[in-house]
Amino acid sequence: MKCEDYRARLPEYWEGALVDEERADLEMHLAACAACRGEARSLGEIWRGLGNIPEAQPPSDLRRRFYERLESYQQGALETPPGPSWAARLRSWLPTHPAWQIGLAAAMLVVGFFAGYQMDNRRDAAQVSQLRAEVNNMRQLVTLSLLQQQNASERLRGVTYAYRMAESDTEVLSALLETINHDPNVNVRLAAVDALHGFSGSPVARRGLIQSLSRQESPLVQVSLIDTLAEMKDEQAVPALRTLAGDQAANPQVRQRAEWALGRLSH
Amino acid sequence: MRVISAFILVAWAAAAQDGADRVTVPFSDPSRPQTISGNLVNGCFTVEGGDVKEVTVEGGGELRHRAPRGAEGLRRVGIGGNITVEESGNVIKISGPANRSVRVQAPRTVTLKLECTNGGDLKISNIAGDAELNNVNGNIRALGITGSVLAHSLNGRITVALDQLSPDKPMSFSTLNGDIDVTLPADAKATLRMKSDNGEIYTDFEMKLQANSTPAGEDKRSSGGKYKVKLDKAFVGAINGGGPDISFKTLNGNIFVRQKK
Repeated sequence: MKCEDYRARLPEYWEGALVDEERADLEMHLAACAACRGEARSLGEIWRGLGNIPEAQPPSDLRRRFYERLESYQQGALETPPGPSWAARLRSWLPTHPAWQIGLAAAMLVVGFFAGYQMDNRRDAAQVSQLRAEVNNMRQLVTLSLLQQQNASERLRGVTYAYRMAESDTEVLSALLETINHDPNVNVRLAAVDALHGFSGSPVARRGLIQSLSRQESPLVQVSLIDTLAEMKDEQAVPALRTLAGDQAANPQVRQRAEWALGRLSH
Repeated sequence: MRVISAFILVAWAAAAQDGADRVTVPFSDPSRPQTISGNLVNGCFTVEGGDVKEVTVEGGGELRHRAPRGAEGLRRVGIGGNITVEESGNVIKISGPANRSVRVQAPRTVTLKLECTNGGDLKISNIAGDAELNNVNGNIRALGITGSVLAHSLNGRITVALDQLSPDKPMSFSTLNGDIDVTLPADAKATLRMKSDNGEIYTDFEMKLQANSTPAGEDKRSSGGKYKVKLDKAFVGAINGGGPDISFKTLNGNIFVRQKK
């Protein structure tokens, strides 16, 4: 047995719960091992200290006070006499003649009908707008989480969800820009460029697309970006397009496309 | 948490025998989704799906079967090119600068992520998982597919035959210079987005084109501007009532969308 095992047995030893053999074994170890002896001494002090803590006693008048309170409650409950019941009070207000009763019932029915109709209408409208907000929220969450997936097919699904986002959502927008710049799959990047058409009113989207132009290596994505920028007619794109058009390393078709876009942006 | 740390590494010796070298690699947990991820610069893949549990990788016949000058009168002993096959966390990775094709047999449901550069054609068949295929200078052929395909080839042609469409999985095919030829089941429900800048688009599907694919006119003559008709070549059409998006995009290629006969 190791020292740890002996130490674990100390509490049982002090309680006298060890059988003779075990106790002898432990005492022998303690005699031999200085470290365990030290441990046993310090732990033993705490152990005895615990034994000295007095048990908490309830105050002596606790029982009396409880019964007093119970009794006063019972008395109080009996003393207040029951008033006329609600039903009885209401009855005194209502007409006794059957004709008036029928009339009143009919009037109540009409009022109730209209009130219910109104309330229902209002609640419906509120519920519908709440539901719509929830669906949008949901769609945003799903889109964002899909765009993070390992599987390219799932990420593409995320981008197609983004197509359907009703209003331009800034979080989805930045996720799409992230996708355009960093997604390893060309097809996913292409779809993201398409999805950003829906955000063409946003200056953030335009800036992101312009910046992305210099980062793309795939000619097809470059062409797609050039087309999108030409369509947005944003003159801030001119320097980036000019750089690309003059880049000898770029695909000749891409450079030609950039020239064409520059021509369109300059008139 | 269980940690899966199976790691198998097989390298073909540079002086491997002329015949096919073959290695069988099991996935560490066959009950979880499995992936084969491969990248070859001078070689490419042929993947066949089947009712198997393990993956067999065969570094078979070399690509260019012409003896180099200086080999006249000599007998070939071996071909070069290392291929490395690794398995870790249910992903089998195949990589190497190998100058030869790699033939892979895999469970049909496997997820594929394959990329080639100069190694010829990338072919997969009989696959039900998601396939992500990339080839720079070669063609891509995917036949007997019941999963989803995302394929991109810069200069090659993409041919895909789908036996079944997943109702919620979008797909995408794109090339710069090659044709895109896709066969769908006759009853496939899908929304097709097709764009070819310098090519043509053909189909034998009944297709309902959406409004945004018709030419849009813009008349600014009254305010001193000009009359402009923009003809955006992106066509969006629904077949069999529409469904998940299938996107076709090419700069110089043609697009063919066929019904499976």
